[in-house]
Amino acid sequence: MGQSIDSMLQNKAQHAKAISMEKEIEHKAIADWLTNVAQKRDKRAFTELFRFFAPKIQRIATSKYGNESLAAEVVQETMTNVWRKAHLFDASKGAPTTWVYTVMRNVSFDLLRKIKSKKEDNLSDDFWPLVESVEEDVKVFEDHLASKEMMACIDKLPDPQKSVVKGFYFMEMSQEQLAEHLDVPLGTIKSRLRLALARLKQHMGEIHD
Amino acid sequence: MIKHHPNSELLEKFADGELPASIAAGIAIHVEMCPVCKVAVAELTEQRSAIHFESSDLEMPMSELNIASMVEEITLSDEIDIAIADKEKSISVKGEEYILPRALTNMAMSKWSSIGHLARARFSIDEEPLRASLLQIQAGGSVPEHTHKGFELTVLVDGHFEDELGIYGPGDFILLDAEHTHSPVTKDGCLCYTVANDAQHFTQGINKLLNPIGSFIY
Amino acid sequence: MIVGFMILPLFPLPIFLLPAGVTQLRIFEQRYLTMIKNANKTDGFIIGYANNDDEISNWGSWVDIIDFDTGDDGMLNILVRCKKLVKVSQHKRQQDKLITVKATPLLHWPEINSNKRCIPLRTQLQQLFKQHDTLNKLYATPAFYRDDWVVARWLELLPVSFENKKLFVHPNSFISAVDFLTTVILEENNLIT
Repeated sequence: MGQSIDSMLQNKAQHAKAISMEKEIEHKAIADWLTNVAQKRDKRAFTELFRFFAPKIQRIATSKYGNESLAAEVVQETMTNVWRKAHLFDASKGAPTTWVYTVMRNVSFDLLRKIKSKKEDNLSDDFWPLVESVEEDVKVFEDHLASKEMMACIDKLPDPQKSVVKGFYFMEMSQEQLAEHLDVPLGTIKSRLRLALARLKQHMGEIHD
Repeated sequence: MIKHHPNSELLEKFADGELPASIAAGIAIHVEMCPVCKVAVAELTEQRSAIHFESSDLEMPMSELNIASMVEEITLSDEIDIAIADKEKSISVKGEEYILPRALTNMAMSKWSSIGHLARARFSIDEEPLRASLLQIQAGGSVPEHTHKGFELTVLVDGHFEDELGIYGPGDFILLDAEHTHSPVTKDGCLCYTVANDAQHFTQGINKLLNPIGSFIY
Repeated sequence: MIVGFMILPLFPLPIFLLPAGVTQLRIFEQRYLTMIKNANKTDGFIIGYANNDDEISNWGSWVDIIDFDTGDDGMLNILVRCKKLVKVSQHKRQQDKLITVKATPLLHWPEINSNKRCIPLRTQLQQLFKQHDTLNKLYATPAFYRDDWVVARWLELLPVSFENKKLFVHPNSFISAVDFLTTVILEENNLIT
């Protein structure tokens, strides 16, 4: 009752601060789930993401399109995209909620266009690029000159060789080479390989059953 | 320097994905070239996501069973999507080479047809009555004075033109409605992305005879 | 641009190549020379297993050409590096018998650092590189500091059948791979003979 305006304002400010703290923690949790999905295909993390986003997306899409089954399709498509694209999320570029929102926006746009104009041109990624530019990790051959040189090189090949059966190199070692490298008898290598394979198959069997 | 921008209502609808593809493409071309609107769209998107995603009141509850089965279905796949380098798409019109804005690279385009200084290719965007085109006005060419029965959106992709209202350059976004009359002229030639919902209507004297051009441009 | 799949040419070869793995190929046949010529336009190609009955494995290695030369014998040698593993489906045979496939990128192991069990594997691999100049030539910048890199290179090198190596394509197979390598390369005492 006797609360001064000052203390009310202070309370409010504290409340706002508490909310933004909460948001920060929430963002961190969502970003961690995304990372775990991207790197480990972590189903539990994906379930958390699903629990957080799916009911909200269902609501947004239902109120937008007034159609629950279409909304369910938006949920399904958006969450599938989150599963397939999680590795493209970059925490330094913005909040994870904004990223999922853009995924949902793009999915809805393409889906609606498919329904309304019968077009499956998936234009959303051209209008709202999810990634700005792609860093090519292999620059060596991007070089225009190199590719030209290679053409010339191919064209110079003597004709008979152009038609011979293909050949190739394996980079694989032989059992003898491996034994020599590890400085153990060949027999030891052979039995180790057998053992390793037996263990592997047993282990894989456990995973897949 | 880009002087003409989409208004905030259009930007907001763009950020929400609520515009028809033809109009969204026009804004995307502008945003690709205009750092100011790019930031604005990013901020709008952040605001929208905050409103929708950061309050648990705005949810439609889903059953545990439903959640479990959808998660199961989605996570069954090991497939991922990847980002690959964009392939620039260039076009050649009447001896001029242009690199298409990213927004237009995957929009199916008709062959070019031309009348006088004008050349036009249509996008098969299937949003009747909206029609989207690329329009080239060759150097020294003009479009006779006309009004629009509906509206006309023009985004300059390359070159300049001027009309009664000013000079426009690459990236400028010009939305005219039925009240406006203009007769664009270009000195250096230009390429525009246009969207209209009705034929242009030529207003002056002999130009009335040109009304077929109006439907050509539309 | 974000894509869910690509249509790429297939170079049929039962070779086990994980992401970042490099190998040398000798190219003779005309259709493959044409494929190499176009590789820049098509974003590389797929190396996948195919037997004579046209049976094609359901996964492959998506590679980029990183270098090339003509050997002393006048053959074309190219160096390719695996960008990603892909799921292979819907193969089609073109007129020149070149096979194209729908290639869907797959996730493989994440970057892994400082797994203690990988230290001896790394030491052994470094020694192997020292002894074999051909390996050094393949890798300009070997990433010995990455455990996933070390383990992947070992798997490619080991004399084990392709069928068995296939088990390591799964994104969760890293630990199994470490177990496997530890048994082959390090285990001396626990042998059941």
